[in-house]
Amino acid sequence: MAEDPEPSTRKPPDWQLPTGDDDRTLNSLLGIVDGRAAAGRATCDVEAAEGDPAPATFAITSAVDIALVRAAATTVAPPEEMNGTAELNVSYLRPPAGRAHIACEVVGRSPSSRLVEFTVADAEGEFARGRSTYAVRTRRPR
Amino acid sequence: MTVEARFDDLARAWEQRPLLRGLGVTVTGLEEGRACLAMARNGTNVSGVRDSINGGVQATVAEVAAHLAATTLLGAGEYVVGTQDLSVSYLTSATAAVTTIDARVLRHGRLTVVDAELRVGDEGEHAGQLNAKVRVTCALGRDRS
Repeated sequence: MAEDPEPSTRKPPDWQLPTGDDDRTLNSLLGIVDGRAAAGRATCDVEAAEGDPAPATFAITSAVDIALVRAAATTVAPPEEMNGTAELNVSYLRPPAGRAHIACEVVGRSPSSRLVEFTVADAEGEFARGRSTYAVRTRRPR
Repeated sequence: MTVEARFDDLARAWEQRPLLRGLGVTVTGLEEGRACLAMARNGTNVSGVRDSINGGVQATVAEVAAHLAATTLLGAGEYVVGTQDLSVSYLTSATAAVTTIDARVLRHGRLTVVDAELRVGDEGEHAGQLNAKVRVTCALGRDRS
């Protein structure tokens, strides 16, 4: 690589995600608030921990997977079954600046997969986007 | 302070973070440009298909490992701004009692590129099996003072 592109230089805070016990739910640990899921779309929000201005990308990464799985699930019905995330790609345009809103949409489908695209935005606008391939399998009749 | 002592302090500090405690993650090794973590199955991180560790959690822990590996190479006044890009290929279900995460810096610069692998940490037939391959690009910053 010949030359560094110019990355954002906004210094992040010392991230401290919500404190809690070991048996907390994943959503609780990461500050994830489930939204709606229907007809190939799903949303969720990620809250900043108390004292932090914005959620960590670590939390957003998990939240994106949770939301995309919920979006895919709305398009899967027997004899199809959910079979796991196969690929996940997230690109950030800048660090999050506040509560993050994730919106996922199934944009393509095949017998073995769902293609899901998503955006992540805060009050200042969209700051990340990406896509995922979710694997689906079809149960054979006995 | 020696490099080893600095890395020990770094590992302990990260292990105290609520995120890592909640996800059952420990730092098992740090060296320049490399971070090794272990994640034990628990009630928080298991929610994937086939009773596996959640795919988002795998990606999150790989991202943490990548930041930690990048942190081992920071010079005076440098800091990790955040993740610029994250790409995960899930290869097999992470159903082991312990999943290991090995993150290695491929390129160090203002955009630092880290490769991470998640593998079965248990002994036995599937020991070392690759669960996921992750590529993380981290943006680094530098204090102007």
